[in-house]
Amino acid sequence: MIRFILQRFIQSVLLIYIVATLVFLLVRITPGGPFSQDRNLRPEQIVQLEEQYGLSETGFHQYYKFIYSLSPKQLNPVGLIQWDIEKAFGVDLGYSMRYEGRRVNQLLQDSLPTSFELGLYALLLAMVVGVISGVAASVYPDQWPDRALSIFYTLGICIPALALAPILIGFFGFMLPSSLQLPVMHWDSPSHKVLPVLALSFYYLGSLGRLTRAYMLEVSSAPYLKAARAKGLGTWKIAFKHGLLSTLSPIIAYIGPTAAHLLTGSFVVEAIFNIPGMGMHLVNSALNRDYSLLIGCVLVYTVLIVVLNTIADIIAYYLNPQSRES
Amino acid sequence: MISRLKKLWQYEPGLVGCSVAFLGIATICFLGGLLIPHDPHVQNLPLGPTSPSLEYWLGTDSLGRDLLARILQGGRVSLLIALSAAFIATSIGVTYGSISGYLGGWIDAAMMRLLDILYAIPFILLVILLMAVFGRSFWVLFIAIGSVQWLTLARIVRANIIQLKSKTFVEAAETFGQSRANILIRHLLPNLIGPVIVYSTLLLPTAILMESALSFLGLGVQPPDSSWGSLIRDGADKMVSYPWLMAFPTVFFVGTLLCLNLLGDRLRDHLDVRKL
Repeated sequence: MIRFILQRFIQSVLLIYIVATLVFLLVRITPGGPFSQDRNLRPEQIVQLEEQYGLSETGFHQYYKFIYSLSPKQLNPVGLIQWDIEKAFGVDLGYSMRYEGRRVNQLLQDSLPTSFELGLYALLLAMVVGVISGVAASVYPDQWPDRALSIFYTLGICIPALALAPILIGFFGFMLPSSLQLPVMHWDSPSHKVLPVLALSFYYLGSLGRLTRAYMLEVSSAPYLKAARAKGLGTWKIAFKHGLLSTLSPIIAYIGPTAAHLLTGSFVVEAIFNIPGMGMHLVNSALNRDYSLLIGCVLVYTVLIVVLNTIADIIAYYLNPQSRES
Repeated sequence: MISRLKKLWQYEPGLVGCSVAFLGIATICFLGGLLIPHDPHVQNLPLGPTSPSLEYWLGTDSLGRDLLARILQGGRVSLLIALSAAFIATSIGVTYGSISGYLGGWIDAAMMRLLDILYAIPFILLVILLMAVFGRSFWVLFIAIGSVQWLTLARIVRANIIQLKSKTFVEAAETFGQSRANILIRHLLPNLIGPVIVYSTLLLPTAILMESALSFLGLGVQPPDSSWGSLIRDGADKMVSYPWLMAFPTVFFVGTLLCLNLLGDRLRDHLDVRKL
């Protein structure tokens, strides 16, 4: 177990550095710099700006400085709770190239909690509802609850956030009588959070529900479940107590990649609902070629995803008795 | 041929129905544009946004462009990107998976390790980075999407090859002194057509989703061209005053995804591909 955790930890650290290197290469090999699109800058001004942001040094030196600046120099749990990257790890991501005088750390600290909250609620909703309804569907295979849920799941994977969110906004924001309407902008009170979370989680609810149902049906013919049935245990008790436990580890293993996939949706949802999260910074910095902010966003997302993946892997490993014993 | 199709229709009406529906959408997108008298790019500013009429079947957008023509043009872009991305992904995935599975040993171990690493990289971020760095062109878009979607297929192909290569027909071919490349290409790969078709079909909706999400964010297809993602974005902005601008592209988009997902499921059941 400890060996596995250690192995996964080293792998994650390596992975983060691989992504950082890829990011560095992608950004540096391109012809246009971040300032080349500004027509009203004189050549000497560009040179000065590039010097200011350290773009004029040699490639290798830049790479060394880049990797050094990203490497954690300390670990402070208080900083983690405050979403302060500098306080937590001693990492300074520099200044934004477009928001003049704003530090990337500060921009991320302001937007990261919102995005994290949105993603977390959506994932939790998808997991709880998807898994429970998937188990329920597998209890009645090919009967009406199963049929209805299957249609629901298929709709889920066919209506991604970018199509669902406008529909939800139209319905809950405008068509309902005004006493029942929900706010369709920003991220303040709990009622603001309902629609974005729904829009984001629907797709994952569908795919998790399908997955759970398929795994449950697969194990339903296993001897130990037949034994439980022969003992006279109730259908629901068998499904939730015995069946679900064995399908849990593939489901948890699925959460890791899903968390990464969830990002795509969360960028879209943040854009539609005008939520000031990291997705907005990522998209705007990509459109404006604000490289320091873009790199900051990409790396923070990468670290989040890799950490989530690793945790999911370790839990799945722990839940699987085969791997636990060996 | 006809009788086989008839039989298929008898036993698998869902499969045939979904294929016909998808082919129908694709045909409408690629050939329908020729029949409509309106050009997707020609603006008619004094006209502005109008609701559906006999002249403009699905209405016009705020620049007076025919919405149907734009949806069909967007469909061509979305489907072309998805098809080429799926093609690239299938080629890479099959090559990688079959080499890894057939050679086995340390090569296989190394190739699978690399795959594990690639699996954990959040590619959407790299695609966004690519789009920011290389400019937002059609080519970058489909190469970027295609080159990130092959991972699952490579795993599936590898698992199947490993299962097949201990079969007697492979042993027979080896006894006859056939080269390894020959065995792989002539004897093993043809057996994989089923799973490859199923998973390539399921790649299409994924690629469409990715492209539309990027276009929706403004990082994909650039104006004046459109794709379903960017049309839904434009429509969503004006949804309250001109609901058809959002409704019609969404119907096409969701309809296509529905067809492709159902088609993939039906194909999986029909060809009896084991889930991995």
